[in-house]
Amino acid sequence: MLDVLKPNGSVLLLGDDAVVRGALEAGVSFSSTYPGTPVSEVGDLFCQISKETGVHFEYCANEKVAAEVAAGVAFSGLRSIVSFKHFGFNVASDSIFPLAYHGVKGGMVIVFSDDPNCWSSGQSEQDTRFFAKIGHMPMLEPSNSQEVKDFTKYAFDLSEKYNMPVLLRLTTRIAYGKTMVKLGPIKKGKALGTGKFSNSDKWSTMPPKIIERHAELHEIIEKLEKESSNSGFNKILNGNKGGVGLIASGVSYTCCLEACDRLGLKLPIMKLSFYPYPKKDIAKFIKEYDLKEVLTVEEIEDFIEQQVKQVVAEEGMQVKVIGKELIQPWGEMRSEKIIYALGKMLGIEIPEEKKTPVDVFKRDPILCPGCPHRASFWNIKQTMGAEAVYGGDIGCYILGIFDPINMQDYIVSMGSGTGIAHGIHRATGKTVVAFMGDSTFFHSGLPEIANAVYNQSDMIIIVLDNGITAMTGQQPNPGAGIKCEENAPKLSIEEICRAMGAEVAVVNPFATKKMQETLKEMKDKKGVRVIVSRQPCRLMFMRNAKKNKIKVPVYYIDQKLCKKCGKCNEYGCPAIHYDKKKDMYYIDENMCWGCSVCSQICPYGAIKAKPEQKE
Amino acid sequence: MAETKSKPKADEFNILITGVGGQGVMTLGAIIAQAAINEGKEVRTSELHGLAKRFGHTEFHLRIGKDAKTTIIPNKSADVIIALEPLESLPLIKYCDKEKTVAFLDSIQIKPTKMDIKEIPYPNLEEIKEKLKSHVKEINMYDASAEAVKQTGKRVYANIYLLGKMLKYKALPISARTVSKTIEKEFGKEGFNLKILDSAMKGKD
Ligand SMILES: Cc1ncc(C[n+]2csc(CCOP(=O)(O)OP(=O)(O)O)c2C)c(N)n1
Ligand code: SF4
Repeated sequence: MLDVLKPNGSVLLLGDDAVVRGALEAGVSFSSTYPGTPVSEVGDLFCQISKETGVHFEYCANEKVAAEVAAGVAFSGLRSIVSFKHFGFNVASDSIFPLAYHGVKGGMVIVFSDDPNCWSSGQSEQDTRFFAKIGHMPMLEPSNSQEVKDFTKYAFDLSEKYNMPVLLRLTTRIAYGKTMVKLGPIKKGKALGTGKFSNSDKWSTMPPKIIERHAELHEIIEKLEKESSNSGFNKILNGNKGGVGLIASGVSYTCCLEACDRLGLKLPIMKLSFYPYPKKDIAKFIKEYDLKEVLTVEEIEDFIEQQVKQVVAEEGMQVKVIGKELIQPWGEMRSEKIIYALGKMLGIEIPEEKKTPVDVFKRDPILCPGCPHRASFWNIKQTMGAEAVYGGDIGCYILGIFDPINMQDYIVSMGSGTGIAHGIHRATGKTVVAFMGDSTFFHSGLPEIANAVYNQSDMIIIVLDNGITAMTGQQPNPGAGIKCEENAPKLSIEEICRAMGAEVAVVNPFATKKMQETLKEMKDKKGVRVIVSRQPCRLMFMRNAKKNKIKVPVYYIDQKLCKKCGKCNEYGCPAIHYDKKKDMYYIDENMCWGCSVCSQICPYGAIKAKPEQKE
Repeated sequence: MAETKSKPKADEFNILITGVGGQGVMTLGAIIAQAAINEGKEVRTSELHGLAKRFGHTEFHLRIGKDAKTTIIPNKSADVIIALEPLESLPLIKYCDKEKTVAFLDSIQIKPTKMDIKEIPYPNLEEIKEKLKSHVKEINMYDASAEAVKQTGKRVYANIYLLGKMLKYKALPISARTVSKTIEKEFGKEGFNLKILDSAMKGKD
């Protein structure tokens, strides 16, 4: 049995898994998501256990839809949870902000994760806590898996008490950290179908009612501040009076503990876990410990620092609040950063940090061997040229930014590649080649294409259709023909594009000659052209092959035929190598996933499939 | 940024595992973590998913003992580092302490594509060891992948082979018995895992 489903005891849980357990203990009925690292595992685990637990789970086309579906469930009196990454919150925010105004009946929890240091986010280092303030919603911020579980469970009760959605904020190191969790009893949620939607509840607001409700929200926030104070979630760790104190939240709190331990200091630490933060408790902490200086410790922006400074100003206290002045607002929290800051404040000499030597080789992530994106990029570069403008987008193909592919000239956000391509066309007259994945197509690509056709643009859109949302861990999407563990209607990308009025072709990137011919034909046309490049994600393909015991060929270079032109090496597959000493090109069999493209690239027919194959 | 010399703590043991995405870094980490739990110890771990996983540098932080506070190992605090690919051990230098860190390396060289395209030679193993030497107490390198291929036909068992070597030299605060019991429970008695573990523990080197 999965640890997360055990009836009781203590287990080691990933932060993401602890979200699921908390929701199960709260009797959740429905869960939805659009995947995004570092919270993809929340949805994936809900999917995995949905049959066994009876909690209905859905992968949605994008985050906005996922939030709306969860809201509909909560409007009807059942408990729902929705999860997405910080960028997903941006997409969903248009629907989320009004939810506090409208109110919900069943508990609704919105789980999101920021990604300090951008471990899995190539777009911006965003601090989403500010959304809690704009959205007038309470926000809980756990510092370990136990708190993730406990806070999630509590969030449902809180949501029902105040009839508004509750935000649960994770960060990468909480989502992907594992700590011990003491389990509580699982509660069966209300069955789907038993919800009641009453139109007398009036799920709409219009001026002037909306302004009245806004005034009410500010009263609710004040009540929530009291709730925060009484919740027991904001904690004070005892320490010496009359000196420096720390105020922190989430993962930064654990780093404070580590830093103080290492410095052998006993400083008082206040942990804030429940926004709106209790102003009077912050003031009391500063007064009771007679603090002369406060160090606010938080990742990314100065969310806590601003509010502590406000309390100090309002109370007219004589205390210096230091935050971003000593702990930079970028990168993730480490105990070393706090040690450095405390060293400065307390005049303790801190030796220089040992850094990784600069000459250490950095191994970047790379497209898998046999990845169909690499083949598409190759074919397109052969026909469109290296100097064409290539519009990038978000997916595994973002890795096409690296050499030798180098075909993502700009990358902004999901779906944006096509919109920006139209702008570049308007400004320069150029025909941009814009990429988007199949999941991105359904997520936000549709209005982009509609706009391009409507405004009579001229561009070539390449839909890299690998049949799955690959980068985040192979989740299905509306084009996949499956949903969570079940068959589903399969939406046709080419038919949709044709219906929108685009010129469409479907190609197979592993048939390089044929694909290049089609590309040439399309290049000579005008208007909005969509080329669907279809071949399954190789990682998924290999997993299925292993499961179903299907043999996959392995390729090798026949050294007798190889003329050492290096063309195959230009392809940039991680299985192809060049041994300088022996002046020899070769394929690492362990890495070859049998796509055959290199054998088509070699002008001398030197690359061949081995008779024996791997399973 | 700064650091202080880590004060020895009563109950803390830090293991940092690295390798190339897909080599079994997470699996090895999960086995050691579960074994430590089975011995009643407190465990904290940190890993990364998504973009970081596609054949790039991967790290798994594992902290055993109730005195550890964060899930990430602080600088200069690793007791053991395990590199399933030798080149990947070098980014871990900041976590190493000359006085205590013991390194276990697989000798397999997975040449990064960037090196192939840019014709940068892969450094020879002695060069890598030389770079690491001044930062760690001890380096142990094994042909773990080669052994795994020899015995099972598959490279993925190299992580278990290295684990066997660590147990043989008592480099971990967990008994060999607990580890093999844990593997048996998670993966079953059949398969190559226990065999590889056993052969590594019995091997001469
Ligand atoms: C708004 C938003 N939601 C989610 C993500 C996370 N994300 C990064 S890549 C990706 C996958 C996109 O899938 P697809 O377009 O099919 O490309 P593939 O990875 O399959 O190549 C997702 C969902 C994001 N970056 N932004
Ligand atoms: S996971 Fe799939 S789409 Fe992503 S790089 Fe690997 S083969 Fe390509």
